[in-house]
Amino acid sequence: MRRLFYLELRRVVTTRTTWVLMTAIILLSAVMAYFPASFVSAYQADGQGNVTKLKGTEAIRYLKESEAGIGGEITEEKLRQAILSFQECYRQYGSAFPPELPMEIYAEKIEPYYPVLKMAAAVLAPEGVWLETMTDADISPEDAPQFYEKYRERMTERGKTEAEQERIRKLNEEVKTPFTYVSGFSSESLDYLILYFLLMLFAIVMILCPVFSAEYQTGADSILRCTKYGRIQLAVVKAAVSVMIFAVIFLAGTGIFLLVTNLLFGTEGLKTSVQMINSVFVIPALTAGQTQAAAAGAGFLSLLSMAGFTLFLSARCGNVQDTMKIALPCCLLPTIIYMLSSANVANIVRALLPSGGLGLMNSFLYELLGNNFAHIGPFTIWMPHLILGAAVAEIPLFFILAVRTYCRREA
Amino acid sequence: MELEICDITRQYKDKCAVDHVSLTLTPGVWGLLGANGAGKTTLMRMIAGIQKPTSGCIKYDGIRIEALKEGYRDIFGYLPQEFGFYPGFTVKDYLEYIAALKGLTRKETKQRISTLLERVSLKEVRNKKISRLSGGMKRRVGIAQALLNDPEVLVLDEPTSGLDPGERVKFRNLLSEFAHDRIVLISTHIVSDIEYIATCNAVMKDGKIIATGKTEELVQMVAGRVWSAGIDGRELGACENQVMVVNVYNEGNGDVRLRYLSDAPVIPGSEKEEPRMEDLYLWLFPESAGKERM
Repeated sequence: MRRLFYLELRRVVTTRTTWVLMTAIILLSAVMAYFPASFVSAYQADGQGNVTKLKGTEAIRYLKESEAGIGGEITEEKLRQAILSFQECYRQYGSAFPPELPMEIYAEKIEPYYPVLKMAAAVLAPEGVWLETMTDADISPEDAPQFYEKYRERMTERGKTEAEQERIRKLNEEVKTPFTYVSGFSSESLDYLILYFLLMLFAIVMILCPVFSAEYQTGADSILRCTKYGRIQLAVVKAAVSVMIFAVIFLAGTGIFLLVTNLLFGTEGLKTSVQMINSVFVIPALTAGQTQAAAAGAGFLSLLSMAGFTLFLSARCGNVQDTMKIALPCCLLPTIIYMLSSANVANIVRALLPSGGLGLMNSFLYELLGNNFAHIGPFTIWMPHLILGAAVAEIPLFFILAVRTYCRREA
Repeated sequence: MELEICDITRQYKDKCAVDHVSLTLTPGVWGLLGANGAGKTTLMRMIAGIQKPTSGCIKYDGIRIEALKEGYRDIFGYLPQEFGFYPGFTVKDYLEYIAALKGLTRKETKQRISTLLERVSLKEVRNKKISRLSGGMKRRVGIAQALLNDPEVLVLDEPTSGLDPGERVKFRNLLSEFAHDRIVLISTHIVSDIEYIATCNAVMKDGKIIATGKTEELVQMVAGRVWSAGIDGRELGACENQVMVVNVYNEGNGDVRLRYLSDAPVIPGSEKEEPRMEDLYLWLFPESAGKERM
């Protein structure tokens, strides 16, 4: 069986489509990881009225220096200072943002506090007001001591029903306050990781579609099936080789992506509380690094689930084209369902699909950072839990179905 | 050693491809004759275990092949009508892959591949991609893979299609040597292949076995119905309408010599001929020559 595994692996890897797609998707990871770093910008004032716009790694380095003051735990004092700075600017210039606010002042007074101000506005300003539309009357330094209490309150209010609110309260109570902020992490790197997984999904599906169906199509199957190990052993070997190829692509691609991202942004920012990455109203108690790891882990499970599903389709369909016609749209089906409806049934269906954790706006990561719940009978399930649960259940299911379908098929 | 086909039927939606066929195959070369659509391929695929009969069963030495599972496939070799392969494989890679599937050890694989490549004259092209080989060479790769595990039961569906006459002779010799103490079942349209090497034949028509027996026994079905006669070439058209012509030999001076099938001599000066398998084939399947039996 080991020899058969080696020969099958050699056969698949030396197929032109496989190695071209494998190489392309692995190399793409470095490019995709570089983009978010290139998008970072910052304004540097020289103290003589000149402001320079910095981009890329230069901007990352500068922001680390300018945000050093708010680094570490976001205490009441840091919140108070940020709000005071905002009010000062607003009262003097009628806005805290350019063009009303001179760029030099913005670079000096607002930019270094931006992450704290954004979070403070979301929690302390009235509902519907956010940092860019906030006035000095919407927020006061005196609100700072109540920040974390108000955060918990508003976080719970995100639940649409009592059951959801109860679940949020329970999940959120592990979140440690005060939050931690260390400059150097970009939420865009997570967005690009998700986009990369989506591209990887297409590559994996295209590599795996022919695994069984190409044999049916060429007629090779008739010969293979008549051999001693041509039934269950061959099916298991094919599934194992598929998993191995998938694992290599995933580990190499994701490894390079994370390595490049963390080299460009630095690893210190990974300690930042997830609540400070983008929106403060995030349920779980995670750091940016843990969020990155969770996104990668969930990506692995969702991709593996979809790999199993593709193998099952390959074992079922008579030719490669038919397999692709079903498998490729299935990659985008959760996104399509998400765009069409946000109803409970739609949420459940898209989470249960093998590619449920992958997508542009509907991925596991966005659900992890969001407040969506699925209601199944008396149960209120947080969407990331449903997506992960479905993937974990589907992985063995689809692989077993693929092997069984191949074995039961008549050549 | 015995392969017993017990009353098997294979029913498709609107067609009965194999209709209550019973046959016991013993060691030797068995020829399976029949026109296109007679059910030969379906029968062979059921023997190969890649299609299930709608009813009936196939037994090897008294045990159903489904029960034997790996044990049956271990002693089985099969070449389907359409030889499918992975386009990226070289001859050697392909044979190594099949050898691994057949459970051969590394050492056995090396020896068997070397021997078989020599036997089927493919040694020179062992490192060439199969997709780049000629039709005849591909067919020989197919034959080699079927023989890799030195099978006790060998089923070959149209093995000689695409082979040139020299290759066919080589193949027949290879098979004759190989068939000693083994069951070999061959279906072919090239009747001469069977005539030379088959120890027994089964004739299929419309999903049924209509005759079985040794070549010399079967051809007796047309004994006294094979004739030859010399005619003027201009009369050929008229004769073709009158009798079932097996062969036309141009004698060079405008005259032709006909070999034809008929219950009684129709053309003046006809002489009785020794029947051959080709005569029997045309007698049983006149539609294959675009004729109805006269």
